Amino acid sequence: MNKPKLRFASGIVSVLALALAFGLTNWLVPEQGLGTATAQSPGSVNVYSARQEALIRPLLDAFTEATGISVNLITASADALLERMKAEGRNSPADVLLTTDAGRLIRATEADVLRPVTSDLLAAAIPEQYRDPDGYWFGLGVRARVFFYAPDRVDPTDLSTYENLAAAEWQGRVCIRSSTNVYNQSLLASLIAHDGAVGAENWAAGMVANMARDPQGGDRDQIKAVAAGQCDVAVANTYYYAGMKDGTAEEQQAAAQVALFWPNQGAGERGTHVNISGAGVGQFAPNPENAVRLLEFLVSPDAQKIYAEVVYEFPVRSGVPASDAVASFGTFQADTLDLHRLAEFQSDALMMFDRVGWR
Amino acid sequence: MTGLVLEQVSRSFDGHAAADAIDLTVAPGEVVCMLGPSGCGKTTTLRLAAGLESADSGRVAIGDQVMDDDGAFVPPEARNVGLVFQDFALFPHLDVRANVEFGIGDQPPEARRRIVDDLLERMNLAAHASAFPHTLSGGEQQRVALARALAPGPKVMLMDEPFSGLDFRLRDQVGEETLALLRQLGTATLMVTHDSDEAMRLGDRVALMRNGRIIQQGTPADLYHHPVDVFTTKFFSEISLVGGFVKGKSVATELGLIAAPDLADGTPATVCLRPESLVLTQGGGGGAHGVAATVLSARNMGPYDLVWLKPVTGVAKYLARLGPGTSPAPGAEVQVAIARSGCFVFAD
Amino acid sequence: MALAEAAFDGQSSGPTDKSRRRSAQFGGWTVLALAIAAIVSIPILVVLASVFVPTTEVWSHLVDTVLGRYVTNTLWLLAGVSVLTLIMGAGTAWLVSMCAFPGRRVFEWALLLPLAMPAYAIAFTYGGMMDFAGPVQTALRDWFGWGAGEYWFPQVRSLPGVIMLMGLVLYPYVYLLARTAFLEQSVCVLEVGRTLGQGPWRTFRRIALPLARPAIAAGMALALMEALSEFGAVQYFAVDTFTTGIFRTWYGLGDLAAAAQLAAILMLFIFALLAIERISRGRAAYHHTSTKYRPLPRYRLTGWAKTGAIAACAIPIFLGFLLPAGQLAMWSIETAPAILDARFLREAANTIGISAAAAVLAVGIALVLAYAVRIAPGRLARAGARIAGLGYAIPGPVIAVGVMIPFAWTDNAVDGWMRATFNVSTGLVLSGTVFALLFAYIVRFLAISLNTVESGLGKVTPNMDRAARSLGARPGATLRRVHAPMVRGSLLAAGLLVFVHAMKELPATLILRPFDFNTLAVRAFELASDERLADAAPAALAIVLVGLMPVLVLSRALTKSRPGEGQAKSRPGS
Repeated sequence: MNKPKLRFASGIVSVLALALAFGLTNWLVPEQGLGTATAQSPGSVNVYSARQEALIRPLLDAFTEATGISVNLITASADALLERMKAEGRNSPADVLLTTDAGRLIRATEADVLRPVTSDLLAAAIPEQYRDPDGYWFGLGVRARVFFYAPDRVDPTDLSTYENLAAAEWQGRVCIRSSTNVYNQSLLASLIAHDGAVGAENWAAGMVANMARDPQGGDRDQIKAVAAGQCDVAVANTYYYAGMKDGTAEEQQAAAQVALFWPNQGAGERGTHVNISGAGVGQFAPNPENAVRLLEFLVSPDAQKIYAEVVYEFPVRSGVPASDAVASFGTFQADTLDLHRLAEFQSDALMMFDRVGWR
Repeated sequence: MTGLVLEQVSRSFDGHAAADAIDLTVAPGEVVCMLGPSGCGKTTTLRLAAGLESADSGRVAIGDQVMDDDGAFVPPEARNVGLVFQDFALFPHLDVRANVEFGIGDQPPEARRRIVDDLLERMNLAAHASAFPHTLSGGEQQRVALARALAPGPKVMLMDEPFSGLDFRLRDQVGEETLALLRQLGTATLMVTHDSDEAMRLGDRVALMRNGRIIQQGTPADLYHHPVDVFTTKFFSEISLVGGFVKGKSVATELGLIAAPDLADGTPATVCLRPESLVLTQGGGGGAHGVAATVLSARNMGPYDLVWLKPVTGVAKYLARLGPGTSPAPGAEVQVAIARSGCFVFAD
Repeated sequence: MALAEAAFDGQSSGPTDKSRRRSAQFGGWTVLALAIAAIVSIPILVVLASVFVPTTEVWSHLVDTVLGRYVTNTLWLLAGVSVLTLIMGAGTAWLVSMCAFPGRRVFEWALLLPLAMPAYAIAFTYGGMMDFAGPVQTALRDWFGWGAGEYWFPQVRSLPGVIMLMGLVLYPYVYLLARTAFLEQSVCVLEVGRTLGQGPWRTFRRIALPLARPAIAAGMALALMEALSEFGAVQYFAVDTFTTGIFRTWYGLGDLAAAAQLAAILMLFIFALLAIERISRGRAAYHHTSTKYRPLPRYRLTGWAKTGAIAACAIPIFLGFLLPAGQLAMWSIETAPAILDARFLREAANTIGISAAAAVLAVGIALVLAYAVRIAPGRLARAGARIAGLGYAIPGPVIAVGVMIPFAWTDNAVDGWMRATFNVSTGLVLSGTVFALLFAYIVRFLAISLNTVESGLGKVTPNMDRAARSLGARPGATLRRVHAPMVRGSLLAAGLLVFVHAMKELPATLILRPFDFNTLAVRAFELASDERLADAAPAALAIVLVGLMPVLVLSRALTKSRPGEGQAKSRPGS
């Protein structure tokens, strides 16, 4: 009478084993021999990326082609990746952390998941302003947060600075996305750094009063809303606009109905708010040499050109041309504020948004 | 060779004794009916015998194997007992043949088919072998349940109200056929019922339970004719009760002196009168034949009549049983005497 | 004991030691169930443990500024989704179960279709379509010559919009369970209602609805838990609920502890919901009192009632499935040639493979848990099963952290010990593997399989267990030979529900997956959050299409779930 029981037990076990085997054979030991067991094998580099795969795959493929080093990739939000690196600790397979926003890179540095890197190549290619002085992180591309206006309803001479957009004359005319987005947090952080906490909070309150609608959607949605006539001025990042110019017919049409304005360009002004996308090498990187090679590759003229074409950012390396769409924006003067200052004020900025009711 | 033996078996739930020192033996080929009101512990006792519950103390044995005592416990699947339920509990996803085969899966297919064919034949179910349970009538379902329980050739058959789910016209016939088969197979059968008629008709012996204890066990006639207390007496028929004190080896009641030879003087006692112990004589006027009483109502119950009486000088009502069509009209005056049989006196 | 052993010498199934008897009898199952429950509860406990981390100034900031709005919005969300799913789910279930009207047979299965539509997919399609700059409003402006601000148009990126969209994709839970309950209701009970002079509407309101209440409540609980834990849709619409608040706090303020504390409050909502249901149910019994089933006589609808019934069934299907799926299909036609490649197929294979594995595991574990509670009922086992089911209400990213931290801790502890003892590094054994991901899926979706399996097992009378055991079947064999086949329909349903959920799962997949392990959901979300809706459409459409298959199987199983109808020769006339 033991037989049926045994048979049942073995039945359950085999179903579980089957399910597991199905999973494990497929993915625990995948084609390239991933996972921790083989992370040390020469010829590969593990990338934790907060930039979406579709954006960076072309670059990583180019790197593999150029060096023979294969790239293992996971993408997720920057904070989730940071949490994962912290949890994995000394056994983290992360060689490179790739993300947007300097604040994230600085936060990762403070969380001790990055290591300092000394590379003459990197130092030479990247302006001092866009890399960490101790070598914990390096900028790969630059983006600016600018205004987009409807030329038929807005005289560009009325536009001037970020500060001015909070003035009463723009009441009910501005579109900008939710304060949950890190780009707005960094923008407000820059205002805190320049104008002080009180000035920045007044600015945020003024912006809320000027909104044509509750914050919603992404940056492209703000630009489209201007094109559709729901608001007159939108605040958005440059690369979204460039992407729309090369996008679907509908997006191209919307992009054609708006014009770009570089804020804070006047004499004595500080310049337009910029941020970077960048990368750092993992504190416990199993393949640190390959990691540095990847970073060096990413700032090489060829890679910077691809980067510029694919993500529509301004190349961080001088002398590399921007994509045609981005080049058509013309040149501008960038805010030279130390990016560390953005990280310093990001939390304050978010709390400020909460206080003034910027959703 | 014994069938099922329970010795001093007890089981309580949350401090409440559901089975209290049960002593019960069922011989092979014998049918014992466990009788009692709901909640008396008869189903618990059945479950203890089956191994669906384990005893707190005492000993359960089947044949000469100990199934449950202080040292060991054999789970139900290893006890080789058959179980039949009131709701039959047939497996709805299996057809009749597969239901019957369920318990003999470890036998070779050849033997399996032989056993099932034989049982279906005996049970008159051969035509339904591939039917699903819900398409069968109640009687057929009951026979499938029995066939399923019999297939592994159990030494002990445990049945929980097996016939109460059936139409009453089917009940007697199915019951007698079933038990005849079990007797013929030499299976020790313990059957739980709350119906005293059924217990008396079907059981070789009857065990009456109350509050977790067996109050009395014996042949149906033993229990009927020699009940040990008021409860037992009441369980087998309607009775009339009358109280009093023992004086000079008898109890004085409205219906006259009733002998109580075993009780000491001054003991408070209850007299139980089965309806047939009241002997009625037509005609008024007291006398040696008994006590004068008035007929309150009378009703023919088919094979007999029931008559309600009140002594002319008394207050209580009494129930008498007469031959069919012989009862006096309501309002008539009769003489009531007490016959020895059917009259019991218990000290309170 | 020696005596007993001698007596049983040679027995295939010997007696067990009396002192360990009770635990030996059923104990294996209880221990197994508790072990499973304990392991599955770890991530939930990790989150709950955050409550004991001292609060920071971030917390007081949240309380001062946004917490009130989170609570209000979340309550509105719950209320709105409750009402919508009740009306759309229970109402349509009753119409197709009890009434006859044209198209009923199609509606029977079509009403389940929105189940295949991920909430984030419906959010970004409606977002794209209904936006000010979207095709609908643009067309309206062109037709009527309206300018901006000159007309009113419902704002889809708003709390009412989120409620509407969630209602549209979540009502199938209520529909599914309510329909099962209506089908199982004894026709006798309903006929009694009619003979007592109740019209169809009153029969529904006074008899059918109250009898189906536990099922409807279970469906609504599933829908509400999902609404609370939904991440993609609320994130995309930037509606301030607890879920968005959790991520704003975590990502924006970098305070994981405060975020986890918010998540713990979210769990209180769930407890409150469940408690309210339990209390209001009181002591009323909802067991079926009759086992006699006959085909239901349907109410034949005519005139306005007929039109109304058709509209009531057609609207949720159109808005919840046809319209968004159609939009996805149109986008897909545009972009599919560029998107459909070997990568896409591999992602589809990944998605189906891991979802199937999660479904099998979740059903197996649920069966063990539910069966253990059944054969050895006790507070401990029951509580274990309840806690194990809590993960469903917790947003995926929080579960992900709850999985990540203990896994990585274990890996590092083992690694540290191995280094110290053998000077060998074992590295990360569990973290970043498919195993971790599967585990997260099980933690999140066990509630679904557990509920479904439990309700299935509930229909098997305990006498069947007893009969099987007296016939020589041990508990395991009883489960395999009696329960499993009898509840096969429930197991299938449970597996399919978990499958569909795992396939749509996003946040935990993103953060826990191994290198280069992509699923369709990851692809769709990445592109959609980059505001490339048209490029995201093929992956989203593929999720919908794969999700359709189980939905259709489920629908077939549902029609057969009426007792006795599976084998019955004649089908109920309509």
